[in-house]
Amino acid sequence: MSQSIETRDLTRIFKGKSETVKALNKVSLSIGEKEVFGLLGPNGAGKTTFIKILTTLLLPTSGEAHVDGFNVVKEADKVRKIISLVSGGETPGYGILSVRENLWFFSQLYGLSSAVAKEKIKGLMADLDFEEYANTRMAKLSTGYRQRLNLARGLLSDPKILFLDEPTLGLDVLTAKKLRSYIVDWAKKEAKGTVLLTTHYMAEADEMCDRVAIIDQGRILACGSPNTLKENLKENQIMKVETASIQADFGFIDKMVGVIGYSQTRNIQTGTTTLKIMVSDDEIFSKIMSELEKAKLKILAVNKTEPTLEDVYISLVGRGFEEGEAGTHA
Amino acid sequence: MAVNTILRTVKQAIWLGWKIDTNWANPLVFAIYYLVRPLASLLIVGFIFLIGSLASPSGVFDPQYFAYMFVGNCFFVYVTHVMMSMSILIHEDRVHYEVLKHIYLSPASLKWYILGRALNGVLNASTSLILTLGFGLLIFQGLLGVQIPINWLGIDFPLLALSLIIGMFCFLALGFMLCGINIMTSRVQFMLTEYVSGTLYLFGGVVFLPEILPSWGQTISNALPITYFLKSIRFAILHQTSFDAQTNIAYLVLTTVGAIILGIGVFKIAEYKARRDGLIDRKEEY
Amino acid sequence: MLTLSAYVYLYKMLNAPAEFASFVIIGGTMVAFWSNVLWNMSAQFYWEKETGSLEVYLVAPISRMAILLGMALGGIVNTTLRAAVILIAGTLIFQVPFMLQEPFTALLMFFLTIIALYALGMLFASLFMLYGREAWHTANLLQEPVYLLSGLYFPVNYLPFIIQILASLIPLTFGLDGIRRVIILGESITDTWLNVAVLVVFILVLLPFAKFALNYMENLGKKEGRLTLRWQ
Repeated sequence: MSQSIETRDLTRIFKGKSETVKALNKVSLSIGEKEVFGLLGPNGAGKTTFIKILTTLLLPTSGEAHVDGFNVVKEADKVRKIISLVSGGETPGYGILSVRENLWFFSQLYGLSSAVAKEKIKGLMADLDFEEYANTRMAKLSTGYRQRLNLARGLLSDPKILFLDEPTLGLDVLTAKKLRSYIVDWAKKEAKGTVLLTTHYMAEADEMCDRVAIIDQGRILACGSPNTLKENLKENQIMKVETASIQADFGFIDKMVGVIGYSQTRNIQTGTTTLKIMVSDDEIFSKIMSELEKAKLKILAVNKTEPTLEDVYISLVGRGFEEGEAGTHA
Repeated sequence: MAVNTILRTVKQAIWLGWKIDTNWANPLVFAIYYLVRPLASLLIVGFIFLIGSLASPSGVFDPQYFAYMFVGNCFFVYVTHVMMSMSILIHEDRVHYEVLKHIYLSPASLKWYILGRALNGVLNASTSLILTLGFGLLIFQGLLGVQIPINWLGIDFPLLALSLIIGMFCFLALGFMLCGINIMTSRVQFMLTEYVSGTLYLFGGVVFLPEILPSWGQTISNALPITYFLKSIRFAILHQTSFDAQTNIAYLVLTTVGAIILGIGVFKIAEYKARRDGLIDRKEEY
Repeated sequence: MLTLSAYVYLYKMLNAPAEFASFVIIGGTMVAFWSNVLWNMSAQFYWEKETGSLEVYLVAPISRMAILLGMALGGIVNTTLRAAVILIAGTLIFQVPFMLQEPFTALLMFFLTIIALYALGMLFASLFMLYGREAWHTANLLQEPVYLLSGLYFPVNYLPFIIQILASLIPLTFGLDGIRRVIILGESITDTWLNVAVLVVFILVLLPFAKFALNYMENLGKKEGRLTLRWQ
């Protein structure tokens, strides 16, 4: 099978005034045609850098990358003709132009003939449910509708490869769901093209992607289908413990032998902290429970859970995925 | 590259420029906007001229010089307009509208889009020029009774058109240079344009004869295409003496070619650096 | 500074008396302050609005006047430097004559002008706060006309009477006139007391008015939810 995207030892170093950051560290990935591929990692893991290099916005420091067989450094022009990029949380066009005018503007930049452009714009606005805003100025749209416009812009040119950088960032649950299923249909049912998606939402990657690569500090830690990745955790035990404290220090858990990793999610509204602890066998878990009791922490609930992609991350890195920003989204 | 796509891109960019410019006000206010500033600046130099002449020991007013200044100041609008519109678009599209990267990634590429926006600037400048010329004449000749020796029927239109066309290349080249600098920097767009156009205004022989500058100033003046552009325009309109049109055009072409090389060079470097450092979608912090 | 030099050369070409050059140089020095008022202070609100940090300021329990004053002071160091460069470089390059007799009168005139200008700036700031881009364009639009009317580059008394009246609405005009008369023509306070008086009146009227406008615009903005709107 021919590869849509292929990178070999792709590395990017940012030299700042005081520090040098290795945003990508020898990333080698291949993504097949019509695949929906997810790059999953916390903020600052190198996801956007990866996408920027593949979309020819940024040069790599070393290594190689090919998009549809074209070298992204030497054949940028050819790459640009077949790709399109949609980033979440960004202005999707000129605020002073209406939705239709924005799409029209980009359709012309993409070289569509008038008839085709009109047809496409109409179709996309209908598919993504925002026809009623066709003549509304972009500046007046809510975030959800802006992102619909952004996605529509990205699909105008029928890209062979669609790059989505955090496509549902900051969206409400319903809109996010709508966009996700639309994108999956676009790639799968209509078999239009390959999707490379970056996200830090676990469920999104799980729901949409054929395969997922987990990235942290510029390195790919694991790659495979969500099910395979979760399968690998079957021998471990994952427990979810809800405690009635948001201040307690759970650092001791990490230091115990047999603990593979743990995450904590603090919920300020309910005043609780949910711990997710991954251990190699049950015995260790009961030790943890007695430690918690010693610390006089009130335990609200204890459940055994099925592994999720977050647990895959915990098993690889030893810490939780969204530490510090928990509670901002589901 | 499909020529069709390029043409569409240029056309859309012109249209977009127009939309952006007219967005904040209705067309009438917009027209006033394109009249008031150049006219006010024309009136400033006009008054300086009149008052300065009055106050000079001889007290003589030289209509030839007045016409020299009048034409120079009016046509200088091309420099300010084209450069300003090209200078701010990078910042606007990158930071405010956040679309620069999508334009950059479009098949026709950034340069054609910028060209379109620049052509919109040329159109605006032409409108502005005609309005300023008209109102300038009305105020000075009509209201204040200043005689401006322009023989409207005697204008050498072929020479005027030729100078304008070559001049356009020169302004666009300088505009591309500014675009390039703006890609590599942030938040300097206004200052930069002010300095570049200020330098051209001072050394380009816009309102006074370059001969009055100190010798180093005259050297700068001789290297600037704008000097030859204005000379050529003046000759076409005013037929002021001691002028060899062909030599002047030759110098204009020569300096314009220099400007084009400079403009393309800076822009190419900017494009390279933009990709190397990821500047195309850089978010600025204020 | 560059345009300024062009004007000086224009006077030179016309063989005008040397005090016209000093006239332009002093005008240019004051333009630095005028631009600071317009761009650094008034437009500051516009930039803050753009970047969304205006909200932060408005939530903070400090008076708007204080914020503006802070912005103005922040800019004034730079501006004074810039103005000084213009003054010194201009004087040296063009060797313009000065006949300063009463430096204190000059300073008094200068400070009164600056205060009046900044009061005007606060008034503008309230407009910027609410109208953003439109106000920005208006300020941009008014740049040259203000230069023209306030006689930055030539004596206003040469202008037609009706325009002189219009010009006298800008505090810059009186301030400039006063400063020039003291510095270039060597006049004393007894000759220029009228300028001082007018400037004081300007200040007394503009300051309360600016405060009122700021409060009014802020309330209006809050009511209509326009303060946090970015440009379109």
